[in-house]
Amino acid sequence: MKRKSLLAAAFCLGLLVALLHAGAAAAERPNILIILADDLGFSDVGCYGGEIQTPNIDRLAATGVRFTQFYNASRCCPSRAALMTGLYPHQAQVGDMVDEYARRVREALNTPAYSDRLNPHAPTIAEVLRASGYRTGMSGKWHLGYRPNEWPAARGFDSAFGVIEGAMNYYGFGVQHTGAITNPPMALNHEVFIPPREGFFATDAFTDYAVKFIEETATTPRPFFLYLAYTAPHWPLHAKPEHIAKYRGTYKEIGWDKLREQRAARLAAAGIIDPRWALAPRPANVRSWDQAPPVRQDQWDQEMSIYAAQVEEMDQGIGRVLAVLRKTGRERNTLVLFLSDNGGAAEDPNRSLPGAVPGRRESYEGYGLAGAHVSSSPFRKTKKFTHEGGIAGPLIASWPDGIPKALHGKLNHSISHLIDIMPTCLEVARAEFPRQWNGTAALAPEGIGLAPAFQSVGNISRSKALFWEHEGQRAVRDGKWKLVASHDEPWELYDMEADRTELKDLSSEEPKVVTRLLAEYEAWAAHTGVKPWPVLPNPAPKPDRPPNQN
Amino acid sequence: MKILRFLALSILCLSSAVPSIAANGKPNIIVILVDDMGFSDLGCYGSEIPTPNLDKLAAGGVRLTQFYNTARCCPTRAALLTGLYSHQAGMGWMTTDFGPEYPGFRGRLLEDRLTIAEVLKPAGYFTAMTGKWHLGQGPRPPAERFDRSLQAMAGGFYFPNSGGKESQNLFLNGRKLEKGAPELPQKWYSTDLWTDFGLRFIDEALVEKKPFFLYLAHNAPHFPLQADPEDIARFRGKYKTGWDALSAARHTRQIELGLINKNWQKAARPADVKAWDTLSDIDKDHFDNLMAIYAACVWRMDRSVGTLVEGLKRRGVYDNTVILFMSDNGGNAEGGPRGTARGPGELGSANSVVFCGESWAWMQNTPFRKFKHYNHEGGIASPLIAHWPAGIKARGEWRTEPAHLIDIMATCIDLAGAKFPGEFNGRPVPHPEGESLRPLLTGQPANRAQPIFWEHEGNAAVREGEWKITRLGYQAPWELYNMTADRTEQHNLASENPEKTRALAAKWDDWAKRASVKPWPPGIGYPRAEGQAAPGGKKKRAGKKK
Repeated sequence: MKRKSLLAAAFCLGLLVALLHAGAAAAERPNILIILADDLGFSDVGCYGGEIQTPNIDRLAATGVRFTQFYNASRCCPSRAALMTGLYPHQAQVGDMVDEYARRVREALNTPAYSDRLNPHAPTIAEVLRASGYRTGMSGKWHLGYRPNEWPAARGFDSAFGVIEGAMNYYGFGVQHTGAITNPPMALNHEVFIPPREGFFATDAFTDYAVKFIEETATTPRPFFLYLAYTAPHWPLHAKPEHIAKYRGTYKEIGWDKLREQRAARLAAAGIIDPRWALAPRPANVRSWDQAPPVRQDQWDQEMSIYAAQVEEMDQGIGRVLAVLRKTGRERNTLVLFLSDNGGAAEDPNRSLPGAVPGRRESYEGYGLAGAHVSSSPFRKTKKFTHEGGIAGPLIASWPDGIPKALHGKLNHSISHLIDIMPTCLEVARAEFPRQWNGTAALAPEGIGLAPAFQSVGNISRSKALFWEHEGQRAVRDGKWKLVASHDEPWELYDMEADRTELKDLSSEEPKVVTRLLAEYEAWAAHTGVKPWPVLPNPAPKPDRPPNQN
Repeated sequence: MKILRFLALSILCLSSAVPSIAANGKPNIIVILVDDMGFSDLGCYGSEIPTPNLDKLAAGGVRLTQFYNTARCCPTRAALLTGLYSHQAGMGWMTTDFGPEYPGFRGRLLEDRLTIAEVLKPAGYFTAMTGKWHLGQGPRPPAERFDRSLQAMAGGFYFPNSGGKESQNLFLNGRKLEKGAPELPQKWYSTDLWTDFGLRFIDEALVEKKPFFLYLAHNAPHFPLQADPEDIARFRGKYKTGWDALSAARHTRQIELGLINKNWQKAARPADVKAWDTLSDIDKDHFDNLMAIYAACVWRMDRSVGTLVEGLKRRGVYDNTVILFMSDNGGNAEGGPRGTARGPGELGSANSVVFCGESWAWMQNTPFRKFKHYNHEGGIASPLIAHWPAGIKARGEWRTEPAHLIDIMATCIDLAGAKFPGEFNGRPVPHPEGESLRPLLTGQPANRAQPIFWEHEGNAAVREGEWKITRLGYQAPWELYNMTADRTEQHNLASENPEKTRALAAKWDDWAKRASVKPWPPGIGYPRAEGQAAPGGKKKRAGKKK
């Protein structure tokens, strides 16, 4: 008798589950594709005011929503850590860079928040989605740990291909950022990958692998999660001659000053920025375009045309990925998120071999501050800084079936951040965040889900402020207020509604706001393990010798 | 009495065909491992550093000209203690776990890999270790593997307050010794501490009336180089002769000693090391200081060997104690040509960080190419002194057959009459790879059946008979050398003799598969690990202002 009723109960339960499942099947869980661009500035792509031709990214915007106040963590490693875990970088133990060159800083800080790999107790989006039934894949740049047990294949990706380090020669073998002529550190799943000597080009290779992954998952009923992290348009300036040629000559006709004005005007016309915000002034160490001699103007034209070609090559790759989604009948039920890891990069790797042709394997350059300040226009500062030019980036969310047509092409002004991506993925995948991870309580995401923005243009309310710290640069964003400081410099306060380009410091006029935000910052720093940026211990006096690099 | 002993020996010779080994009880065995010491740093291997105690052991025993280590601290310790290739013991690299997909790189000595101590214990031995462990934080620390142990988990200190610390991570029989622990003297110097505790443990063995096995793993002369000021003063000024002249002098002595072939072309000074004569007086003084600190560390280490020998004599166990002395890798070029010299304390003091650097490492590895980390001879060639009055008849002779750390386990099993158990907790474990050095030590022909293999950070090598292939990193082509004609690796014969190269490479591939060696994950390790510049040089902008 007892057994019978148990069986009956089990049957009812089964029926219930089946019914629920049928309801769920009516809205199948979407595939999720995150496309992360590298060092792409706020205003580089067409649908964010850029002159670079990006028809495929623009099409994503036309079939989805663009966020105007989306933030990253201002640098490669911290941004990737926040994206993967939904945590602030320091909680993900990537408070600074994971590379060997940051070792002395890590040693000086000597605290887990600054380690050389992603926190093993913080599950990645891939780990969480895989546990909930997703097939997971990654193609592109990892930069969250060099050891094989820290590679993507060990952090939740069923299939993983890419470069482990933060920068690579796009042609594979060649001069690398260390100056060595070698292969970049790449991996295919758990194994070292050596790119072929000829015919390899990073943007194409990452696209190819993404396309292959999408094709392979077409036959399984499981939804997929794909993380496509291009190295483009991160330096070195490497692109194909035919793409460079398309832009060559166009940049010197405009010049950096006018180009920034044009971008700002287009952003304002599109409603992405407020026309009342004044364009941030040109950085002090960039001269006015008119004062630059022709030889420098031509060099900049060349740098920008390679950069533009890099962006366009990425866009073409995205076009191929969207085409295969269409071909496999999954374009409509795939949430595509397109974003960047930080603002334009004012860096000069400067490792070209003698006689190198710009854009080719033997060259190794960046576009420097002259290029970066354009990429980050209309904002102040660039990558590594917590002013808007460092941390503001595009976010496009496209999902034909999940976002009503009325919202397609619309803007959303919610204050949002990389830490929101994990909760957003959990929302749309209806997945649970695990309680335990690797034997300890899992570190739950700090962000909020952005899915409401897929249903309405209204702003998503945030109960907590957003915070930043990178190498001594700090910031708090709470509603319209932003408190920001560069390393060893005083705090500045801005009203982001009136002045998002951060030109009118209100810190002396609004001391109460400063005090309140400062207290919030201190509490957050204590909560996440942020430490004051260290002054490295001085070496013992070294007579007539260069600084030691050990 | 003497006649009786002679008779006993003669009988033994007849019965076991091992003519010169005595059988009055199992021999005691002491393995002394030093850290980061180059091939030419002992007097009896050509050095100007006075090492009278080790020279005496060499004169009373035999020395090997072609003894090899694994080119790095952790892997050497794994191979030495287990008789396995490092990767087979889980220690293909340092104490970093690469995860289950990389079984050869688990960052710790695997739980079921047995050490010499565990194999000798069932044969009646009292087992002890003192010094640097550096085999990771596995589930079975030294206290579980040795009867007695005083160890530093990874070295890195010479004084109780090295690095400005209150106390160091010292463990006595598994128990952490806090600051002011009564077991420790008020003031100590690690080199002496390891030796003193070694003798204490020997006393315990003698009370138990057991033969002993002592693994004495010095952290000297590894960075941070630290020594007492009066010892540094002993050498200060002596190195102003410079690395060019001193390296040449070492080379000459090595030829005179019969250690090396005078026809081998001495490895040239590396391109990034400056000619001594071109240095400023300030630089000369600075570099003299660095090498004086290093020499003081070596000198103190030798003095402690004297203390040990004296202790053995006083306890009446000197004659039947086998002492095997070796280094874990070649001289260390980390820190680059200028080395490292950081305070805040006086250089060489407890509160300083000193690396000799590449310039002196080149001299330390005379006459060979390359350094610690590499599988060229400069990285893997080590002195080996074997001393055993009761067992080794030869006095001061050289043995020229190649041998490797993996042979030490087999040698100990052989000398102790032990048997390798072949299992741990009921599960089979890999059998040691090496061969007993007993024939070599006693003047018998050694017939090595297997080639010797290396892999470290993608650097790799195979040594078979007179041939060696080696490469610089996982992606570099193999180089081929004839070690009889050219042990200094100056004439790459790979293109002249591709068949030989291919044949040895095929053997390496088979071994790599068998020993859990995997393609080295790029972006980790040396030389990138040392002195790598952050990206972002100064760019020359066209038409720059000013």
